[in-house]
Amino acid sequence: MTTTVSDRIRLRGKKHQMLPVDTVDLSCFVPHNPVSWAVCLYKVYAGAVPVLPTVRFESGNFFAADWASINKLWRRGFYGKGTLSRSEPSWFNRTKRRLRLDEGTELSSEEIIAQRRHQREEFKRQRQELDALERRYKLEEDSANLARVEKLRHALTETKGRHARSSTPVEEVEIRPEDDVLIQEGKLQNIEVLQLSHTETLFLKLIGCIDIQSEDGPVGLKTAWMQILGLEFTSEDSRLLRFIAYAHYRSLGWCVRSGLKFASDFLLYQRGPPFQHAKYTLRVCGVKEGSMSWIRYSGINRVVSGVKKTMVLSYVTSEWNENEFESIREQMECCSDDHEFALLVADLVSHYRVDEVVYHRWVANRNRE
Amino acid sequence: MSLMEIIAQNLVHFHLWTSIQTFPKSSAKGTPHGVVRGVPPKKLSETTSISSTGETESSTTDKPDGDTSEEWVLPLSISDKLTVENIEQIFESIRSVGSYRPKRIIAGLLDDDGSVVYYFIHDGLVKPRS
Repeated sequence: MTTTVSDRIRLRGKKHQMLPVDTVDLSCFVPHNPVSWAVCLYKVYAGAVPVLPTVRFESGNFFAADWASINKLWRRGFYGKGTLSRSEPSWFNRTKRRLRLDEGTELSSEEIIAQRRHQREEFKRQRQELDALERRYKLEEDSANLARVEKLRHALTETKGRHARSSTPVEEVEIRPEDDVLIQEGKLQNIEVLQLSHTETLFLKLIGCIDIQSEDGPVGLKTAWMQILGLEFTSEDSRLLRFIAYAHYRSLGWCVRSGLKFASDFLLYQRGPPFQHAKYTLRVCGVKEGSMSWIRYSGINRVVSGVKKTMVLSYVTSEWNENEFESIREQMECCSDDHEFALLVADLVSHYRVDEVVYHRWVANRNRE
Repeated sequence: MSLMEIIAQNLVHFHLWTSIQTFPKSSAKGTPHGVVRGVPPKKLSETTSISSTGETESSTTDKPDGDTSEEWVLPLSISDKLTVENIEQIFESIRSVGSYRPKRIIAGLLDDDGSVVYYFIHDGLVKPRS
C-alpha cells in the first residue's frame, strides 16, 4: 500500500478528501429525470451505513492495524504515521523487495532516498580521487595532465544527478536472523502499524470519524480525552493549546503533521506528504506562558529556514473569566454522554482564537523588494 | 511494548541494525528506560574526540574486541528531561553493563505518533570534521 508515482498522478486528478469518511457520489443527479432520483436514492441507502476506521488503543498508543483502516486514514487526509517508515506505512513492501519476496511494486520514498544517497556518496568519492590527482599534478607541474583532470571534473559535475535509477548496485540478498523470524511459510508477516498521534486521535474522535477499541471494549470520546489530556487541565495548558491549533488548521483544510524534526509543533502541508514538501512549520504559543528568548527563536528559525520552510508562530489566545472556564471543565468532568461531551469540547474550543505571526530573518542588503 | 522495545524494533526493522541487545533499566541503572546495544548496517560517521588530557584519540580505540561499529542507543520519551549529571550517570551505567565507557551514545527520542528521532551525545569535545 504505497503511494507511488502513478498513484500520485491518479490522486492529483481527484478532488482530495481530507477526512477518512465514506462519501456518496451523487453527480448522476438530474432534477428533471426521475430515473436519476431512483439511482440517487439507492446510492444513498447503499452507502448509508458508514464504516469507520478502527483504531486500537494499547499501552498508551493509538494505532490502526488492518489494511482497510490504514488505507482510509492515510489516503483520506494523511493521518498517522507508519511506525517503521518515514511517514506512509511502506515497511511491508520495502521489506518484501529487500528480501526478494516480491519485486513488482514501485519504489517507496525511503528507497528513492537511499538511491540518491548512494549516488551522492559515489560522486563524492570520485571527486576526492580527482582532487588527489590534481594535487599530484600540480606538485609535478604537469600541465597536460592537469587540463585532463579539469576536463574529467567538468564531466563529473555534468553527470551529477543524471542517472536517476540505473546506478543502483545489485546487492546480494542478505536475510538476517531478525528477518527470518518474520517469514512464516514463505510469507512475510506485517509488523508495521499506522500510529496516530494524540492530537490526531482526539480530533478524529471528536468529529466522529474513528472507532477506538481497547482490550476492555470500545473507547469513547471522554475516555480518550482523559487518557490524552486528563480533566485537570488549565485554560493555558500547552497540550490543550496544541489540540486547539491542530483542530483549527485541520478545519481550514490543511494537512497538519508532527514537526518534531524541525524543532516545531506541527508542519502544514497544503495537500499532504506525497505531493509536495510542507511550506510552513508551526510553533504553538500561548500568551500567558513565559515567552522564549530571542536566541531560541533564531535557533528554531535557522533550522526551519535551512529546510526552506517558513516559521509561523501560532498564538492560541482566549479571554476567559475563570468561573466560566471552570464551569465548562466541571461539566466535562460530570458528563457521561459522549455526544454531550463533544458539545462541551466544541464550546471550550470556541472560546479560543488563533492568530499567526510569520518569523522571518531579514537581511538589510538582500531583502530589498 | 515498552519504550525500549519500540526503539529496538525501530533499529532492527527500519534502520536494519543487527546484533541488538537490550538492557532494561533494572540492570542499566540511571537510564530512564534502559539502553540498547547494536550494530548499524553501515558504520556511522567516525569522530575524533579530544580527551580531558588534551590528547586526541579515535572514538573507537578503547572498545575491547576491536568491533568498531558497535553503538549504544538511549531510548527517551519526548517528555523526559536530562541533566548533564544524568548523562554522566548513563555513560557510567553503560560502562557497568558493557565493560567499557563509549565515546558517544545515541539518544533515540520517541514521539507520540511513533516517530523516533536520533541524536548523538558525545562524551567531551569532538574535533570538527574536515
